[in-house]
Amino acid sequence: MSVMSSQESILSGRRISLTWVIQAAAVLILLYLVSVPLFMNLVTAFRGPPESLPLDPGTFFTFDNFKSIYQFPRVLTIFRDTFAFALGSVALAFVFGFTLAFLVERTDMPFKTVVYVTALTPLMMPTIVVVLAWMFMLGNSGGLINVLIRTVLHLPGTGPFDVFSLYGMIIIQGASLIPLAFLFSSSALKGMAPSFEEASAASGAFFLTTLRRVTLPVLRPHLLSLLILMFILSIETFEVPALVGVGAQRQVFATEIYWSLNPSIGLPQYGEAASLALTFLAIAYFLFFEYSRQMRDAARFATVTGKGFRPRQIELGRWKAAAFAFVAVIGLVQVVFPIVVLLMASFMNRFVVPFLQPLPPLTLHAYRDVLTDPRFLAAIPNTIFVAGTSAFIVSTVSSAIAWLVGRSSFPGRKLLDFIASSSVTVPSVVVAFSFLIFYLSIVDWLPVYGTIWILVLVFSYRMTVGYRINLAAITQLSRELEEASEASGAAWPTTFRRIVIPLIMPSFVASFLLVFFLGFRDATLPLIIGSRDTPMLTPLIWEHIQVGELGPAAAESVISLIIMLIIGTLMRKFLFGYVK
Amino acid sequence: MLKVENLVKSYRTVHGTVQAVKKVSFEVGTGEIVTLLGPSGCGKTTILRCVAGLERPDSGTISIDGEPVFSDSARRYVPTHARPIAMVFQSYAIWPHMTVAENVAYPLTVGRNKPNKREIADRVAHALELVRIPELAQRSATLLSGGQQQRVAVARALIRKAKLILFDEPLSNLDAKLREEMRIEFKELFSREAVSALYVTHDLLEALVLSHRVVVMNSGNIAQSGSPRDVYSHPRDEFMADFMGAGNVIEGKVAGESNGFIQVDVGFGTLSSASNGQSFSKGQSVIVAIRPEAITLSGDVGLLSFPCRVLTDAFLGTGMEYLIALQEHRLRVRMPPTAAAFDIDDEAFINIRPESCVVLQRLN
Repeated sequence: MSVMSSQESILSGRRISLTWVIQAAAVLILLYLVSVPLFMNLVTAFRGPPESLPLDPGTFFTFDNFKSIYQFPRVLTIFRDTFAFALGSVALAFVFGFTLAFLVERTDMPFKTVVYVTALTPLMMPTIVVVLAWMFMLGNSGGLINVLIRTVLHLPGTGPFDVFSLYGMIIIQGASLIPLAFLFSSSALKGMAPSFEEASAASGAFFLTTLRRVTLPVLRPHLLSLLILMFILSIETFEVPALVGVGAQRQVFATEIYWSLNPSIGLPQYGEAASLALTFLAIAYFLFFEYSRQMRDAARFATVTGKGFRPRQIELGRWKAAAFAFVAVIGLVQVVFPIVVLLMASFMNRFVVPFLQPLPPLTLHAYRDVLTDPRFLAAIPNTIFVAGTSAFIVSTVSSAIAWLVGRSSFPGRKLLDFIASSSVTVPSVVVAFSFLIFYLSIVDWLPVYGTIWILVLVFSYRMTVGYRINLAAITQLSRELEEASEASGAAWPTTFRRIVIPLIMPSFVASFLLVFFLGFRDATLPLIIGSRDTPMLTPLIWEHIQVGELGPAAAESVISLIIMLIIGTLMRKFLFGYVK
Repeated sequence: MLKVENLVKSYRTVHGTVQAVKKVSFEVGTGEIVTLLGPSGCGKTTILRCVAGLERPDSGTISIDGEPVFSDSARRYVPTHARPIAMVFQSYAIWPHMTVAENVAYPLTVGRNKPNKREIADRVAHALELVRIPELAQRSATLLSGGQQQRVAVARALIRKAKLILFDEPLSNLDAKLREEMRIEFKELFSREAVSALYVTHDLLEALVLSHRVVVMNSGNIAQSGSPRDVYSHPRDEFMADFMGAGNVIEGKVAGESNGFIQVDVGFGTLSSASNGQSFSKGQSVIVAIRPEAITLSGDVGLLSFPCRVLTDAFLGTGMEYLIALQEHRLRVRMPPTAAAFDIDDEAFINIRPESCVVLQRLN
């Protein structure tokens, strides 16, 4: 074989060299974006003193960072709060998301499109905007939901809910995970051969028995992997515990790392942040391995039949109204209320419940302040540029990596696959922190820190999303489509240009759009790594919330949502028009 | 046209190395259709893919039209796109982002000597004419039935006027009726276009209908090759008899020879059967392969007939098939529809035609 390969490189030189160039470039970019900063993080965790960068003169090897973290009861508190928050959020999201999916996929409930809109609209909203909306809805004295409940039940005083609490955090995070739970559950239910459930029904089982004895056990690997994924996302979320958890005196990993970097007194504690981040990362990777294992099991269950038969639908009968009420309540809380409270707050500078409280006069103050703020005006093109450029990098590199993993015989395939699919595991806070210390340490050689390019780089870190989509597209592409081109006389570059690229174009566009919107929404990365010279939309909203200027925060949120809506519509029209 | 010599190809799997093709040699002459026939996993597709250049053999030589395209001793490996071939795939591999005409024109637009637009259009039209779908030229490839995709794939293979066309089980994804139609249409098309082809299939009938020569494969080796009539009526061994659908196999010992027929003692009596050109010694353990249509079932005892009992009957449309019990043996018997009918548990007699039985050496 080794004798022959030299011959191959002579006779089909173009193929080898072009493949080689693609391989080398994609692998290097991937390694640079994903692995190098994490390595810096590892080094920093074992360097002292804690307020120094790891490569500064006078630093030394030490375990002190871990000693200061692993002090009781501090470490116990962090673990307890992180896990309570994550478990609660996962449970809430799963119950609501799975029920919605079951109603859509397996029952004859009416207005199914309403369910889709209800379940998916929150995906469009930046988490920080969602948090702001929940502050208006669950505020202890004037929150919309609290006032409604007090009025209906004739309760005096304040409450019953207080957004600044552990359950407040859980409600917000759980609600923001419902779209994911819904999508995952409904695709699992859709993929399951209806004959499994029909066989159970034909054996005389009531639908709840079928659900318990057949549906849930068959989907167990799918649903377990969903639960683990939601858990990973919950422990990594920063906006919710940072804005709501502080008032509740709750400390989770994500916020602890942030506060180590931005202490109220003194210098940033890099070492301490790094050792926290490393612990956090270890937990996340453990969960990721569990997740991958469940996904492999899910693939083995191979429930998809390929036959497009609609499964039998359970007739809800008199439960129809109840099912619809359930959906309507979720729709109100997830879509209608947030938009209403944000609009009202932005036009009144504060929020009051209409009909029950006297309305303050409408004013355009907030909008005028925001739209005359030069930082906000700069933030709009900045955010679009950063989200767009990073989305292009991610979709290009990830489709090349996906082709390498899915098609080539490149020896490092397994490792590439692992690196590309595990970037979802690394919490945003850890990513931002790792990039920060890396580019701060090399600022003399590569002056990226403080410019917009560091944001482009850090936003390009999220390879997994694009990789997953493109890998699925490439592995679904029959190998014979490429072989037929070669057998027609086309050399490899022609085959790649005329067959492979056009066929994976839809998934390329989809990954671009998804990464663009994820970037547009994100607050954690620009908050930690951005600078005053490169304002971005979400950190500005954050600043206003922090100092209690909720009117301008609401106005900025509304403007951000409108920009996303316009860009989303345009891009879908332009890009998908191009694909078709 | 095609010459394959001592071809060896093995795969590394988790269970170790598997030899998919073990020193196989055969040829395809100009204008000849040769089928590689065999059960799944016999190595026939691997050979085809080696000829196409989609797999790299371990050793041996492959030459097409006198030009070596692979040789381990001469260190030669010509990549797929540079070989003078065309190929029809099992999944058809019709590119969904092109129209029918674009799919068919593709081989003309990627080679070194591109014809001008006018000639391409003419040749596409002609190729679609040949496979009788000229009206589909501008249709999107996603809007084709299985049979139509099949025709597009064949047109795409014909347009290049390649020296050799490779077929990888092209009819296996079609339903039975369509397969039957395409089979005979292929045969007519191949002879009219004087195509040289290597055709892989697991379907016996397809191989018999289409090819000038059949090469039957079994676990990486050639089990037998010859004209369709030859391999069908003179299977060389037990595997071949089974694969050719002998239906009934009875073990016995050679008792003697008379009138050119071998006498085999099979327990319930002595069977006369054709020797198939091989010689046997007296007392040797052998197998007698008997086709279901070589046995006649009748209600009357006759010369050389054996008593039996009818176990079950099945109506086939073109005849009747019975399962009968003869001592410990169970035999399948096929009778024309005009013959007298029997019921389950009827006592009857069978007569076995010696010229339709074959004596075979036992495989160990």
